[in-house]
Amino acid sequence: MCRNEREIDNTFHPEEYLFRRVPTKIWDTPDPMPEADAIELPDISVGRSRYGHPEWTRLDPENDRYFKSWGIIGVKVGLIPPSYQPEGGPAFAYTPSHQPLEQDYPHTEIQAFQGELQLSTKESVPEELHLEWRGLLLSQMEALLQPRERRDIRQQPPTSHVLEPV
Amino acid sequence: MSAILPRVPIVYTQQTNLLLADCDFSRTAEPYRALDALPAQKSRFVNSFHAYRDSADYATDLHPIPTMVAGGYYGSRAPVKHAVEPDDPIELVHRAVKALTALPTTNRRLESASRAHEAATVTIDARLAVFRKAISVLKRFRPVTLASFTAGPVDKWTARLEGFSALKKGWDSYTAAAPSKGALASASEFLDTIRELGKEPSKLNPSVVGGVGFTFRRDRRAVYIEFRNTGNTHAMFTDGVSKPRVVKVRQDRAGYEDILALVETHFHELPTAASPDVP
Repeated sequence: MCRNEREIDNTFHPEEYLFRRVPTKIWDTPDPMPEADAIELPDISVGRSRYGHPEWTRLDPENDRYFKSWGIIGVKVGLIPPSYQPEGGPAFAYTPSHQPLEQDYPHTEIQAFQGELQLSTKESVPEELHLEWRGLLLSQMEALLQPRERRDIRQQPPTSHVLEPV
Repeated sequence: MSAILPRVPIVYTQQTNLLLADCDFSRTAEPYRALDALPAQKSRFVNSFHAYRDSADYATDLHPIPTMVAGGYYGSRAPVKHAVEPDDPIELVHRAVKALTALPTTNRRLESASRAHEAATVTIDARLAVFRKAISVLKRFRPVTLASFTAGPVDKWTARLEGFSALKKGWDSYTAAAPSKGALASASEFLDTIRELGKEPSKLNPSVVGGVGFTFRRDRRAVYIEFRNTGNTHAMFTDGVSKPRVVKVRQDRAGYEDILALVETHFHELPTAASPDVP
């Protein structure tokens, strides 16, 4: 869905889903879920159910590509591990941020913060915490479209944040 | 008697082919065969036929393809065979019909063969396209080598790991870095250790954060070992219930043996009280 001068919407319902596509290189049938190697941090690019269906995430409109056999995983906003503070260390917080693109209005990122400072590189989070948080996020995720699962692309945008039946 | 004699069609001139094609030969032939019982009448009929034939505008032979008559291609010197003129008019009719139908039949067969060739070409092209596509997909995933097809349970991991060197930045369609040479080398050493200890991973993938990840899984319990491009290696233990536990892995033979021992221990630990694994 194109942005068409739509406003940024940083209001996320806790039940709203965030979607991410996973290449069949690392997640293929018959595995029910991908492993932690499919989870990125920080600034994880995702779609959102308020403005897009899960199958829309198979589209990469910015680069005019369509990954029709890739699986889609999703997590409810309310289940994203919000913060983490190791013993004696600084607290890290994670939050979704709507970052619409001209050709991809639902585009959102899960960003990481240390205090008020946004962490924009992978190296800015200690590696143990990095992997642990990815594991936590993965444990909250669910498979919404299995790899190679056929799904026609719906033309109408969703009417709410709730996943709509096909 | 003359009343029963059939009127012999004019079959000998090229100009009368259409007339011949319109004839009902079964009706023509039956009365003639009936003459077998009356030799005198038959002889008279045949003589009258010959008389007619000799007086007609005569052009008997139909030579559809000279090279076929010659019996070879490109001017081969086969002896020329001249058709013997049959006395029997029915035989002549048969020959004429055969000659007239031979060309269309040949044409039909040639056309059919031509279509078969086209169909075969299309099929071969389609199969080649599928094969090329399969190769291109395989090449994106790993180099296609003999080992790709013949690898055993351990060697297939080596082939897969080698294939990661072909990945480019953004291979996950987002911004994933390709595994670095260092990460690949460390992963290769770890794979050697796995092989020597007779273990086998459940999965071996490039990691979207840059690096290589091994997964050892048994039911809900899993250990994910990640060789990052930064040069560090960590292992994450999960049981599907409690919070993941991450430990740093020492990158030498002893460190790899230790972590593989921990993997075995993790798989054989009793489930926690909160775990639904408990019966």
